[in-house]
Amino acid sequence: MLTLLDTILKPGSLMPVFQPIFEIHGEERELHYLECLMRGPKGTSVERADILFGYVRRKREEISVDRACMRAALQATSMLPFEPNISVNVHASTLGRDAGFVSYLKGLADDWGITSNRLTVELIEHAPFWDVAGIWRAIDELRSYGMRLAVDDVGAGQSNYNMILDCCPDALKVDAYVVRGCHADKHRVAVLESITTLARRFGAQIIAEGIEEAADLEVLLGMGINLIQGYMLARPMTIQNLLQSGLLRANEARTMAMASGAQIEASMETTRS
Amino acid sequence: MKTKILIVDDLKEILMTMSRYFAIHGFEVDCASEREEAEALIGANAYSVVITDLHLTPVRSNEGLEIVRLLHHEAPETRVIMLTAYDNEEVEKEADRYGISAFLRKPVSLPLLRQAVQESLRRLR
Repeated sequence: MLTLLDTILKPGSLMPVFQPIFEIHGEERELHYLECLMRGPKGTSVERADILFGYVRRKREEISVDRACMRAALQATSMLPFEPNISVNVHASTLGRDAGFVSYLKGLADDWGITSNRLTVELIEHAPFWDVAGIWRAIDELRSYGMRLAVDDVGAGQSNYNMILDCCPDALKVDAYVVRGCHADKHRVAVLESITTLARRFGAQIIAEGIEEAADLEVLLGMGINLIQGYMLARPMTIQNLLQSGLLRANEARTMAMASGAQIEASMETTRS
Repeated sequence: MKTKILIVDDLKEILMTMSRYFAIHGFEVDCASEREEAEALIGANAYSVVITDLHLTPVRSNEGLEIVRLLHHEAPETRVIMLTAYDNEEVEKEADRYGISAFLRKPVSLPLLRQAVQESLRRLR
């Protein structure tokens, strides 16, 4: 008889969805990258991500399920046109304990024709487990492949200073708990300012998660935080919905326009000189 | 609003029968067949009542008691009804210490179980 874990690990049973992170400047909104989120097998009690990973952590099966999630995420990514950048979530404990994880991820990317510099690994952690030597090895390896590193849920749970110090991430993703309601809460603004300063000192980008209100967005943009993710802008989408949304095509058109603009600029420079 | 309950049993047939019965009687029902699955659901939902079997694996370890302990610490307002096919006075005493609402012997009739659920809900209010 199949256990719930067997069902989760069965190829094709995890359901990837994509949520965009936008870069916003005034009225302009561009796709920065897509976060690939995972949903549990349909019709089971673990369809919701929080229940799925709550179960996985209790079973101490983070490594096997993280690997299965990578398979599902990269397979889905390979179906996306216009080669958008993608992020995937990985438990820090997996990165620390599974010495072969990064090369496994790289191998999957190669198999599915995804250049590894399109990938960002978002570190999540819910247990105080921390194998610094293992993490450093894994981070060096993933950076050698051109992958980027983000720390997820900054300001909540285990995602705090020790993780940032040990990882020196390329991006900090501020947890929704800090962001939501910041327009009416000076203490939340103070935390956001502190994380912004921290990100600048580390040379890291800052991404705000969980934006649901225009008033919060306004505060964030006013603070110079312009990488934004949240239901207000776009909910997580299946591949089909993402393709129908036209988001990738619009992004590609913008990128091409910018590239041709740069070419024109370059040719004018040549003409001038 | 419907009363939300969680039923935990390693036998899929029992889970199906019980969940169908309680759903027909107006409850919102979640099911789990493993301790870790039940704990993950408890962490993400507020249940009024949890009905759990004592043994959730063939080796007869007392996983149901672990669930009772978790609820006692993390959701003390949730009522618990424990089911078992075996006599175990020690476990029964320990479950009592954690304040479970009822300890019922299997096989248990569904109307009797529903009565136990409703009784525990009355005490909750």
